[in-house]
Amino acid sequence: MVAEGETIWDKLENIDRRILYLLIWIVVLPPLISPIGLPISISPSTVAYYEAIEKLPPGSMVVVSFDFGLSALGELYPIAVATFHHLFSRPVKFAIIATWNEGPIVAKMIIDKLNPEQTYHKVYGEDWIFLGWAPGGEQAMAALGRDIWGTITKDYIYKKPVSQYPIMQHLKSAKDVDILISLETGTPGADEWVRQWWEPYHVPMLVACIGVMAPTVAPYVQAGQCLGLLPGLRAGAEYEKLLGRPELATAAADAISTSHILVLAFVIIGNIGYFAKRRRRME
Amino acid sequence: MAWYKRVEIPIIITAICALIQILPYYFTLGASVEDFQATFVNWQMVVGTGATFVGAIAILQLHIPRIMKRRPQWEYSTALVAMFVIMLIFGLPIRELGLGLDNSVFEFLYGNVLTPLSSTMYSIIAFFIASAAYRAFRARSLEATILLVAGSLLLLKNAPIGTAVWPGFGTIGDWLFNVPNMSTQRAILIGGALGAIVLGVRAMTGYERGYLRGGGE
Repeated sequence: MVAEGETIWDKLENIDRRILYLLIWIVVLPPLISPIGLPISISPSTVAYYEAIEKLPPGSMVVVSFDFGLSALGELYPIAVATFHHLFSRPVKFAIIATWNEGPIVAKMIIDKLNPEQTYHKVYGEDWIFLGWAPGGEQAMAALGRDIWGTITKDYIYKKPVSQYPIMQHLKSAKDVDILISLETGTPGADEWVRQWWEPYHVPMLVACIGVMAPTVAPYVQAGQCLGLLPGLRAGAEYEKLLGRPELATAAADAISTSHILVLAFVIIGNIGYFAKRRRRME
Repeated sequence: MAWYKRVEIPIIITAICALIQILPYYFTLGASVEDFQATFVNWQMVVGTGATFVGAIAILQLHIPRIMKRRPQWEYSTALVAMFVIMLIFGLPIRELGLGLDNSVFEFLYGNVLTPLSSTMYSIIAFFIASAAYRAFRARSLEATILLVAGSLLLLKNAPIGTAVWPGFGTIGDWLFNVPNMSTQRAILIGGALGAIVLGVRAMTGYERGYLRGGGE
């Protein structure tokens, strides 16, 4: 219904937000329940992220940092799961740390889901270790870079001194790390890792972040400090495709398509209304 | 004024602490200085962790009076304080009593209350962004038109259907991301870094006193 004195162009320019919200629901839900399977092209930064892990020499030491909390699970959980599948399938060693206090809980959810002992025959304490939360943000990153044993004295799962684990004999400071993977949503995150691990120790990084963070991380990619970047769910879907494991991000990719197209359609409708009104005013 | 209340004392402490962190970053000053710097970083972490308790106490100081005086929306404060106490008790690291992060109640609340609530809060942004894009992306001026076109192209680049329909959206989107965005981000980064240096120098020399009880003399 068009109210008195209100033209169709007014309506197009000022559609009730509740209608927009409802339509977002309608277009997002079906592809999540039943993915369409639209083709996904793979961007160079995703290939770089994949190849950086794929080409790690056997025995390389990786540190995976959970620099995000529960709120970013929607975007980063699928990427984190895919990254761990990739790491567990390679003959590399890695330690999990968290600079966000909710990070260990998220990491544990993923580890419990993957069950690496059964699925990949990886031994805790030899092939990988879970070091838990390092409180203190950027200061913790600096302290870890200098002395991991002194900063996190016990592991997260068994609460035993880290010095008792075979893997930790090869991981005492940032100098022992071949690559750092930061799964991040903000501060502390990539900026702080660059300052505390790249600049003094030249530890190369891989970053997986929520979509809105991508522009801020991009300069580090071009500068060579970050070898690969996975920004958001779309990149997660690309990564899953490279791994040959279509999972959550792939399912969500179709929802990204439908929601983005709806937003674009509304932007066009809004502009049609705006220009039609302007033309009428000029006439 | 008593000597220990003089404003110069915290300024000197700030300057010394900052120099202990800054100098070993740029110069090789020997193992003893580096060890001292490492100890200092650990102090910072302990102080930072202690600040968590300050935050917790501040939350209670805000919400408990609101409940007791039945101020507007006191019901929400009740829920907050109740969850605060429950999570605190079940999350205490006392394994002998079955408490801690592995406690079943704590795990249940974390996994079934906090996780979905946090994710929901974040997901709601999608609705706001859609509404904001619809209202803001109007070609009212040249600048607004540039924003509209760039935003639309990046939408099409980010949506798999966009690059599936025409791969050129990917190329254009990558260019927008890697050239105009990158240069702007660099400018922001460098500008921010220069600002931080200036702020640091002002704090060390005592010109910046905002952290000293609001800068009072």
